Amino acid sequence: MSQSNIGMSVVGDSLAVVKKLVFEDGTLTLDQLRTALDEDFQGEDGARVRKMCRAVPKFGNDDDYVDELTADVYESYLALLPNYTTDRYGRGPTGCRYSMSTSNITSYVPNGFEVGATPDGRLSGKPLNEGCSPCLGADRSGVTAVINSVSKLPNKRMAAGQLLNLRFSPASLSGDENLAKFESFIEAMPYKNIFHEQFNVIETSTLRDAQVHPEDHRDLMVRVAGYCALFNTLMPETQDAIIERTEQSL
Amino acid sequence: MQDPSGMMMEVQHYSTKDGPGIRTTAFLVGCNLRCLWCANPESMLSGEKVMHHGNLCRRCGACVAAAAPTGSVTLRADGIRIDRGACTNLDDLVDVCNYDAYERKGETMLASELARRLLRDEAFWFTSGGGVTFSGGECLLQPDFVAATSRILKDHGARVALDTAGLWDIERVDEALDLADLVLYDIKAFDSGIHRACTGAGNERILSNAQALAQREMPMIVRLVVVPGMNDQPDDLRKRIDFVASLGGCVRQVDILKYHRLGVGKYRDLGMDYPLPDTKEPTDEDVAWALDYCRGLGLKSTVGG
Repeated sequence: MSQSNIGMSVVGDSLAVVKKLVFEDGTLTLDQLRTALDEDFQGEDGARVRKMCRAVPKFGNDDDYVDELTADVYESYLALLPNYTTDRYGRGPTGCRYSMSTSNITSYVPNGFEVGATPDGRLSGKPLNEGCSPCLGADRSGVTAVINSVSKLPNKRMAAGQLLNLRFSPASLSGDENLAKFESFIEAMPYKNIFHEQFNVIETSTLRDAQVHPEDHRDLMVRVAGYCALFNTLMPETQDAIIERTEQSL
Repeated sequence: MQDPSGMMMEVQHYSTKDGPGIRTTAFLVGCNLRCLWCANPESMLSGEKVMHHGNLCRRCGACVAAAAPTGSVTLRADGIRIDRGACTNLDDLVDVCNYDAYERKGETMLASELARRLLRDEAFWFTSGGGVTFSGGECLLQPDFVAATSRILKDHGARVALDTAGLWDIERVDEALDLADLVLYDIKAFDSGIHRACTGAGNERILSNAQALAQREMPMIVRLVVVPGMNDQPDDLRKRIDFVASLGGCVRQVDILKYHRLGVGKYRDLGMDYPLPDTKEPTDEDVAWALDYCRGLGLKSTVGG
């Protein structure tokens, strides 16, 4: 059985904020942080705290400080998994234990509705992170930095798939030369301890247009998480979340 | 070993236009040309910069209250107005703004630190035949920093390219050139008068340095920017291409680079006037003849690199 989890990057980024601002720098108390979270970072003071939170390193930028914390979150989950069995346990040759995956399909969006503001600077109700991808908009150092961050996770032990979604602009992949470079990019994945990667190659403007004029884009297919879907069939929040995935311009 | 420091703008990962394969491009700060079409003004002028991004501004007024002297930053109907000549604490406002509308650009770093950051991309160079490209600004204004970083990279088996406009004393940059596998060489006009009008400097040394590189048998990709109304006179562009052909087999490729206006927003964010407000971007058709002309001379050539 595959056991999928949601929001590991949110947890890793949030732990980094607490570790750095509260325990190392001492620039924020836990009470101040809690108040800002309870108030969803509203007001000028909330905005000030949120700025501090956002300035702490984020998973997806090849920064060991936060990447190692995020890897620890995965390790803690993997350590717990052997304690659980399915109801097939002791009933013959069919598997009865859980393996880990990050294929949370689209549930990272509605699950986010239920989660208040988080110390990484995420606002209440906003999507959690998709798969093992960085939080929406957190990866600002280019696509190779995303790969390097994900390469530090215990991917070999995620037997059910360490799912990473990336979005590329069509222009960056047009022409034989760019395609050859993209092939080389994918060829580097096994060296990077990464085994499950998916791509969307659509202009932001096309996706935005499809939100306004769905009738013109009936056949627009996007890679959502572990599967493809017609863009028009997705809930608006999921459409927004896909658009907000950082477009890697090469 | 010496570990000089340099002034860096940023490291760009997965660059596909700065040489063969997947490149990691290091943009250095400072340039000795003032091309009117420059798309990277933040790297052209020396020193650290503070940019203001109007689209992130929430008009909260915090920077107006904190600016010294009072009145050097004002809130108007269309947003924040910064009097950069008057404001003495612009750098502080980066920390005052809660919405990241102010951004600090540029940092000083050691060659060893830069090399460490670049080498994170090693696996991608290995599968693609890529490497590191030093760009800018004019990277060879910091030749010791480039050479020291290159030496570390070469120890790891990485390939190194230099993206340069050629206005330097070749003895001063000799070591950096020795360590490079490829030079991306910009020639912005053939006539020195046109060159001076567009870039602020004549091109005699640029042309002679190109010949010196050819004598060293340095592999080169020559880049010819075409800016309407500035350096696109067909007669001069033909002479530019003839000159490139005269450099011989060391020229592996010619890239015709069409002027683009992607830098306009950066000028606004730096509080600078864009020097070419009315210039249009050329089309592929506009430069098709130049591409044909290159090919007629046996030069492998592309539009856009």
